[in-house]
Amino acid sequence: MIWLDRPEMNNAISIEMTEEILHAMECFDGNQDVKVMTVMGRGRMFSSGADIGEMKDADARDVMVRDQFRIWDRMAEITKPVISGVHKYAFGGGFELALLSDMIVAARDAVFGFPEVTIGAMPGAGGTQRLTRLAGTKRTMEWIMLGETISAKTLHDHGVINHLADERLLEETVFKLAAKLAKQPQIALKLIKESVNAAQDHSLYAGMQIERKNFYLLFSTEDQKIGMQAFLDKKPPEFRGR
Amino acid sequence: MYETIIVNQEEGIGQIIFNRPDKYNAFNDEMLEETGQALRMLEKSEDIKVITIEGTGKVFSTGQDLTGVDESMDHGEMIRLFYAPLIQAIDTSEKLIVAKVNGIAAGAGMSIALACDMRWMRDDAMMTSAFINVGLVPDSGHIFHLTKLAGQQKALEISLYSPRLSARESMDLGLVDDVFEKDIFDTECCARIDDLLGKPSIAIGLIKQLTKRVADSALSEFMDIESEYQRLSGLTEDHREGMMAFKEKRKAEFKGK
Repeated sequence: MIWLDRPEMNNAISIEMTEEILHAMECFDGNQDVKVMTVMGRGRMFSSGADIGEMKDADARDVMVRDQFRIWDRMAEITKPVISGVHKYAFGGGFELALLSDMIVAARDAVFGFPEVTIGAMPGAGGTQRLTRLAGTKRTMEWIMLGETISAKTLHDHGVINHLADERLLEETVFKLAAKLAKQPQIALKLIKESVNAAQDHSLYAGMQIERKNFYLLFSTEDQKIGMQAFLDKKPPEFRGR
Repeated sequence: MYETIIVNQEEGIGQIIFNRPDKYNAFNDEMLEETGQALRMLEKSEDIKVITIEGTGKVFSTGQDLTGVDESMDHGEMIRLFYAPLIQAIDTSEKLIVAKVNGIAAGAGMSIALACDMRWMRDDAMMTSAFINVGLVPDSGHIFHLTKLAGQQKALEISLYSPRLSARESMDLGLVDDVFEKDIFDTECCARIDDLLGKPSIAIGLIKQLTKRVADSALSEFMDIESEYQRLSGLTEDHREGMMAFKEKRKAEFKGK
């Protein structure tokens, strides 16, 4: 479980926070006992976005040398499933953090958006790329150019959000989904994640090759043997993550 | 604090009273703004279980103040900025909002009464649509709520002919839930509210929202939301108290928790 925990700053995402998120994710990724990760916000909202105070006076050279978004690239390399649970607001970097996770559960009345343009900037941590792939060019263009807010319902309709839940049941809903994933064969989840993500970056042919190799690879896992045997025995499988 | 409305909060009741008596409680920008503010404030207060809306004197509200309307006005913007947020705030609130139609409710005044969860009307009060008389379409959800309450055909007739609907006629059309004689109007309203205050308020808020979801959900989606709301109700102290009271054969004492 990862909690954005700067409630007095509406969980504004500072560089320090991204470093800590990445650190936590990489530790969990390497820890055998962790099967799924969740990212949620403490306090009033998920996250109001980047910490503007931190970058207001920076010039292009500073920003480039610092290249703070490298940290985000490494978050995308996490191999275990990551679920984000969003309540109230996920703006700018907060929305990008949610888009970076594998599944999004949102409060029914949550509001998303990329308001960067209203302060003379634009999304920089994958917003223009990930949202476009999910919701299409035309809609994304308008949302980001006008900096308009987007309701959870709209994003759910466009397949950006997996599940909507009452805000009071958000945590419970996220943890139920996480518990389901935790029971799945872990190596299969890892290879499924790699394969599904490959669909975005590769041609169909190349993606199919990755899928196929991963499919073959699963036949070297105990969980594949356990799963298929249990299926034939008409019993529920008990996977071991091996 | 407020210039155009009166807001009282006591014993679980949040009271909003339109208060521009010299203008028949017509809406100017300020009254719209203040009503919105008051609703948001009452919505946030955990102590408030029921919100009532009424007008001072013998008038509920006569709708948009036409003295502020001139050629430069963008009527569409007016709705987007002021009326729509108000109507939506009433719609999405998890508190019960009751219109006490104590006198004439015309135009957007009638719309706001129709948007409330319940309407109680004084026997000498009247409602009238009025929009057509100034060449406009009925706004602020007027037709939407009329249709829900009285059906499409009646909504059309009322919008086209703008009849002056007496309390009895409003009741017969299903536009109001109860009519009380003017002398006992306030005491009857108080008694009804007391009755509501004795009920489990979290369940009431969720019931209100479920009744709203019927129109815009498929059954499967409705059942999803219903199961969520039942989970929430099941977690309340009021539910435990209700079960206990049932077993002990006594009246439940709900706390709204």
